Amino acid sequence: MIRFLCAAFLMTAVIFFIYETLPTKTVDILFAKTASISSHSGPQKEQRAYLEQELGLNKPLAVRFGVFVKGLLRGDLGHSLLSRQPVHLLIFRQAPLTLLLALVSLGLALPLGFIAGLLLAYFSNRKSILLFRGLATSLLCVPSFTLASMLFVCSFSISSFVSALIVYLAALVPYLSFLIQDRFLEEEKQPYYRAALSKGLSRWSIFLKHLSPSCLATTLAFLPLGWSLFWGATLIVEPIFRINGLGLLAFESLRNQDLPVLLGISLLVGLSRLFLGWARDSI
Amino acid sequence: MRTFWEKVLWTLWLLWILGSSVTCLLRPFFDNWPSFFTPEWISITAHPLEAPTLSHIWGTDELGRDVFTRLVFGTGYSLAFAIGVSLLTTLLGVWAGLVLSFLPNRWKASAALIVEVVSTLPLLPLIFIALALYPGQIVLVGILKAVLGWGPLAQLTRVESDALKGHLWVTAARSQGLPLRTILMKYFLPNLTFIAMSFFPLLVFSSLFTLSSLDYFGLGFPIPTPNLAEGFRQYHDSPEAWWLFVFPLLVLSSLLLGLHCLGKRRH
Repeated sequence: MIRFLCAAFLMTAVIFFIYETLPTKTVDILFAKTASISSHSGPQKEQRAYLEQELGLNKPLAVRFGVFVKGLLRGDLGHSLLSRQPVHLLIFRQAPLTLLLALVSLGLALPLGFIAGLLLAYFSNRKSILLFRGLATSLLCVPSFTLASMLFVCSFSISSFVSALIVYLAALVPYLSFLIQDRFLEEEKQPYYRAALSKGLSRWSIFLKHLSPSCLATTLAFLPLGWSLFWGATLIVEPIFRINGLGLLAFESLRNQDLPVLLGISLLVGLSRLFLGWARDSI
Repeated sequence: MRTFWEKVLWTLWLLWILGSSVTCLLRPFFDNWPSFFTPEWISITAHPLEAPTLSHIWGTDELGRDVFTRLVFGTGYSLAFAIGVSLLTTLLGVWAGLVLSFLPNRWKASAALIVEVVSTLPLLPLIFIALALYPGQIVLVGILKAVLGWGPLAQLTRVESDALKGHLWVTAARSQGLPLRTILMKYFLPNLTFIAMSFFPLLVFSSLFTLSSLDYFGLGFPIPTPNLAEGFRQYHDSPEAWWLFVFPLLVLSSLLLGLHCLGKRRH
């Protein structure tokens, strides 16, 4: 737990410092965005100073980080530059759809990947499996946006949600299936497998009864990696299908240079990934 | 043993990569480079979105530019970016792995924590932040990708370096009074090169993957620089132009597939 908290603090610090010290032009962007809507009127220099004071940008970096962490612990991620709404509200508003997609896609990908991996390992000596292996490898090497743009253009009758789901599954299932296949093939080398074979058990029953439980752990261990893969894909796929989730919010924020929202999403993605990794290690 | 068709495919893959790289490298040195073989060239006779013909074997894009030429140059530029980023990542990863391996024991837990955090940092959202601050700065994207991507290689290098440290020849070298720096440079680095080389294709794969995703949204190479994903973007707007999807997909996926196979084979 202490390790996780240290890692979470370190990650927050790294993301915050990247955000603040990318040879920083942040103030200029904030100024350009907010000068027009600021209530304070006056010469530009004064306006800028007023804005810096209002947003606490005139304070040292360490103090700003302290204020940011304090806000973060209360769930306050600052305000959007575009809508002036609290960032956590924007995230809460758009998170349900992305989380639903994540749950459904990971919920489907784990059993499908497991079954595909089991079959790939079981039939590993047969030539007919080469076709499936080739298909899985090809899917692994096709970026999400290519499949998404093809589905966007071709599938007029399929809803955006289902199309996005297909893209996520195409990204997640091959990855997991190869991991599971390797795990099964490793387990096949263990003495207990040979002992079961010599007792006359069929290969299929050994795979299902004895090898599968140990390979299920690999499936669960895939969760943090799957979560990362999902986020990598969702930031690309949601803008293509115009799904009103966090991926679209991140993309729109990039277009509008809405940095606090991007910072909030980065933290959400990074910390959730860290949490899943910690939960996996704890279990 | 490779089959005949495997050999043919690998030869085609290498020819495409070498051809596009050499083309991109040579072009700046020739003043009288044939204008029809430049990515910006628009033929008087070509129409926008012209289907493949003998003069434009892979058709033309929405501005009437030759898709084949743009993909040749797009491959060259994208590979140059991906290889540059991967080299930087490799340097950082090997160096960090060595440092991790030779750190005093009391610092190792903290260092492992740092590597863990760097490895789990969300790359794409951070790239989005960088691009929001500096739109079109592809170099910044490359630096960020390298700075955030060295974790896995560092962990591999550390494991290998720890294994090397246990060898008798290291003890012998140290007992002979050789400075640590000499041992690292002369004996460790050549042994670690193998790890770095086997990891390199996967790093190029990952960089190319990220770059093409950014290019799709026009966030990668500045327009009108040719890239591997512009065809998909145009296909999005003109779905009848199948050649804007099929040929870029062929090039991009075979590039990535080749790199993936190369990486797995070397591993």
